[in-house]
Amino acid sequence: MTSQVQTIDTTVRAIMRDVLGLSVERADALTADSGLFGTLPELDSMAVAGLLTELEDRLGIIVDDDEVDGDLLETFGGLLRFVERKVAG
Amino acid sequence: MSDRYRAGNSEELIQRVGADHAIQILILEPLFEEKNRTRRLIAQMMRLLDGKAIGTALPDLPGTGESMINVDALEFADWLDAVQSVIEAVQPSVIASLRGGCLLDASVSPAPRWRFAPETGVRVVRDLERMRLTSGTDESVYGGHRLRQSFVEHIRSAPLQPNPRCRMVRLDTDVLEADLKVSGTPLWRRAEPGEDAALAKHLADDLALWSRTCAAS
Repeated sequence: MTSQVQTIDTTVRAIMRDVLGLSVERADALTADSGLFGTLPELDSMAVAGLLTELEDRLGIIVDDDEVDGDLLETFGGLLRFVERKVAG
Repeated sequence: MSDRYRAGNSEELIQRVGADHAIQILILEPLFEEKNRTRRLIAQMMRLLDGKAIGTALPDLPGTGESMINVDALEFADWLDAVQSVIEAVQPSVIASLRGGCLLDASVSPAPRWRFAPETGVRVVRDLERMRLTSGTDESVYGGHRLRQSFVEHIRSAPLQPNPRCRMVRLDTDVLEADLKVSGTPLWRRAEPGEDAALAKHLADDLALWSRTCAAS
């Protein structure tokens, strides 16, 4: 992993802990295939709003409303790839 | 103890801890859902400050907390007016605001300000709209709050008023500048926030120091 990809991975896991209240162990155990929306009971619609806003704050990105769809939060790997693309501009 | 103040046509509650202390801090809470999520944090701060001989006043704005008014009967200007009334009732030494509450400290009061993790109006509204987007509720309901469109638009354009005596505190995960960065959990993001006693202590310590520094100058 490059250092930027590593930083994004670490930051997104920290946000999963802070916003959803996941334990360190559970956040660390997320893999690219881990399901998010519809799989993690902690992730309801209010939490989605908080998750997106924290991503923006901590990574200096802007997520447009039309980018928020089912695919974005389907898997942890999908979320990471989306954020990586955003950070790369 | 609790006190009351008059806001427009209603009387609203002010929760006070340590009302006899010489230094009094007015606390403006985060807005909407974040207010509920930070109530414990603020209560812990109020007790810690009382232990340092500093009093705190925590008002309900019309349409929030114990208020008998419906928030959809209000405009954002009613909240700004209510804050002005509380300031006149409490005569605070310092006005401390958190998150979206920082949009409400725009009064002409000369009291120094202390702001924690302030939110801009644009971002408060973006959060509200995202809750509406993802929960699929009707147009005027934002995360369970029915609001007038004019109210929402006023928040969106509400500035964080520059103030020459303002101390800015943020979490250390925030990329923006601050006078102090503290480590802690963004409890306002969580459905079941729990508590962060260390964060409450950091904030109470800094608020006490700032209040005493301002009182001495």
